[in-house]
Amino acid sequence: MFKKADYVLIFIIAVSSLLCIFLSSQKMYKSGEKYIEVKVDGKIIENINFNDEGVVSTYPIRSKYGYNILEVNGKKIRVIEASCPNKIDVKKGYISNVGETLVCVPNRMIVTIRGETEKNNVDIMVR
Amino acid sequence: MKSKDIVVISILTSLALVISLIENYIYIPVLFPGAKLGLSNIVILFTIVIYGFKKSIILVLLKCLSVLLLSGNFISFLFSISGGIFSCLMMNFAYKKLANIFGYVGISVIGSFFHNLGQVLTAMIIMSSPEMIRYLYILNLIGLFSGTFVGIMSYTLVERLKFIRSI
Repeated sequence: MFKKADYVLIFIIAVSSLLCIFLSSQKMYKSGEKYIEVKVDGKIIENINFNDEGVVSTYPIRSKYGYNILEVNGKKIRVIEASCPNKIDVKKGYISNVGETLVCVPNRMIVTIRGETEKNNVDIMVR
Repeated sequence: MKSKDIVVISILTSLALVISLIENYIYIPVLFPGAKLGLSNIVILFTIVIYGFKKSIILVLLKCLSVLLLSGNFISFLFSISGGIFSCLMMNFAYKKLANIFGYVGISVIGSFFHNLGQVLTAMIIMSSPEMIRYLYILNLIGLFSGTFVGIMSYTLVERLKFIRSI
């Protein structure tokens, strides 16, 4: 059932995926003001700013693939309605950190929270 | 193809189908939505060991087509068939060429790794967005647990049902 190489394989995959998660989140965190980027089919179609605490607003995203309705509630965002069959994006719930995504594959939509980068900041150049 | 083979493949397909349908109702809050355990890979690994390459590929194709007919969801069909074929090929390869290095758990973990890889590549093509690769890391972490479980289960199953070969 278990052989020595199995443990090695499991260890390698665990370490490398943890490392990749760590590195890809590191890259995102040097940031100022947060905003929301909405991509459909690989193209940015809308940038949305967050609201003040307690303000709720909705944004319908329509494309030829279908529709999703985004709800921005203060500093967090979720999908409240979608035309896709599995509703995986709706089930995911709120996201609020830089680098987190809401993905709807049937509608080709990716919602990402991005940090505004300051062009003159030396720290940003390094990454 | 003999009628015995047809019967065997149909039974295995229905087994895999039932397992994957039941699996849809298991809700695991730790996993992010969309990730599944992939328990039907127990049947696929079992088929690879007992019946060989050809039947396992037919099984994967039939399973994906039946899920498409049952759910009518074409996008998830694309995901299941790309991941399924990819992982089935790699598990066959691992079982034939690397069986003296890896045990059942290793073969199953290889399968789950390539299943995730196939699905994420499909997602990257459909969404035309390379950022989807970030999902691969999380999926692989989850895949380690389910892959290990599937490996242990298939080992147990093969040990108990070995005699089926000679029937």
